[in-house]
Amino acid sequence: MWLRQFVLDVIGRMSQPDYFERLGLPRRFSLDVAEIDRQYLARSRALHPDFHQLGASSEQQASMELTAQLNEAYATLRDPFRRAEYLLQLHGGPPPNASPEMPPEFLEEVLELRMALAEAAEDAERAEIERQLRERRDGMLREIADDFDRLERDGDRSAILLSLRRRLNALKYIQNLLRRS
Amino acid sequence: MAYSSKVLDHYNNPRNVGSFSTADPNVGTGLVGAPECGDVLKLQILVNPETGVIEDAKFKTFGCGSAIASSSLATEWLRGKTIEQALAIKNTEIVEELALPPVKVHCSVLAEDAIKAAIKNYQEKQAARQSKEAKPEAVGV
Repeated sequence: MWLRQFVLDVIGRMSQPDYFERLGLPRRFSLDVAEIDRQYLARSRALHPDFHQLGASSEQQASMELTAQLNEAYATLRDPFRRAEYLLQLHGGPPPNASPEMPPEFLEEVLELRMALAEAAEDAERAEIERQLRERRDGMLREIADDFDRLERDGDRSAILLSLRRRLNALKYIQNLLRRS
Repeated sequence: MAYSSKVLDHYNNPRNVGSFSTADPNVGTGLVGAPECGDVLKLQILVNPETGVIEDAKFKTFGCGSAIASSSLATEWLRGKTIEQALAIKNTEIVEELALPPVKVHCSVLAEDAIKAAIKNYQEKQAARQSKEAKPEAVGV
């Protein structure tokens, strides 16, 4: 029992680890999804409340809290959009409303795509629009990955952070289209 | 989250959905987006150039219930107002009328931004037309 308590104490003492630390992953955007899953499963097992149900109530409490935090870290890092938003925040990047203006052509296009999705009579038509949207999202994620790489090397830090903010704001519209389609 | 009955009313029966031709010089178009939620709103006004009164307003959005209700209410308020009166519409009035919760305040901001953008677009089109009409005289001088 002391060993289980010890594990929880050690993890609990790490002062507010960020999500990457919680999952034992390097703090960067480009991550292997299989590795994220592996790290999560290994930690999830050690922390799981079922494994600590015979321990003291403080141990059970710690197990539940750490499991909730681990789950939140996992949900955030596994989704590339949320991972990018989180990492930008860790880098002290600007919030979404710091760059609210979008090119009018882009907004027009988003509105048209949304209408096309709503009016798509056949499943095949809708599937084709969704395929194009996913392709576009993947392209945007590659540009975001490039920006984060540039941030690791040198370069104009504030310019790259602003570029990331703009790219993520644009991606939010595309994500929204995919989510509601 | 519970929507107010006014939001539900506008959501279920949105007023003034549609669009005008952007080629019409008396039409002003405002196209704005909310980066927080990825919603887009297109709001258009049809102005009588003689009186400066907004005769009709239309909108298109694919946002959440609050975004639809905010836009729908805005078009209702715009009809019959002068440009100056329309510019005085504040998002806080929309929040109050629809009883929007704090997380949905950005929907009312979107509506106010769209009104301002539509008016700006109308004024720019009118100015461009006037300078075009004025040109022959300028050449004569």
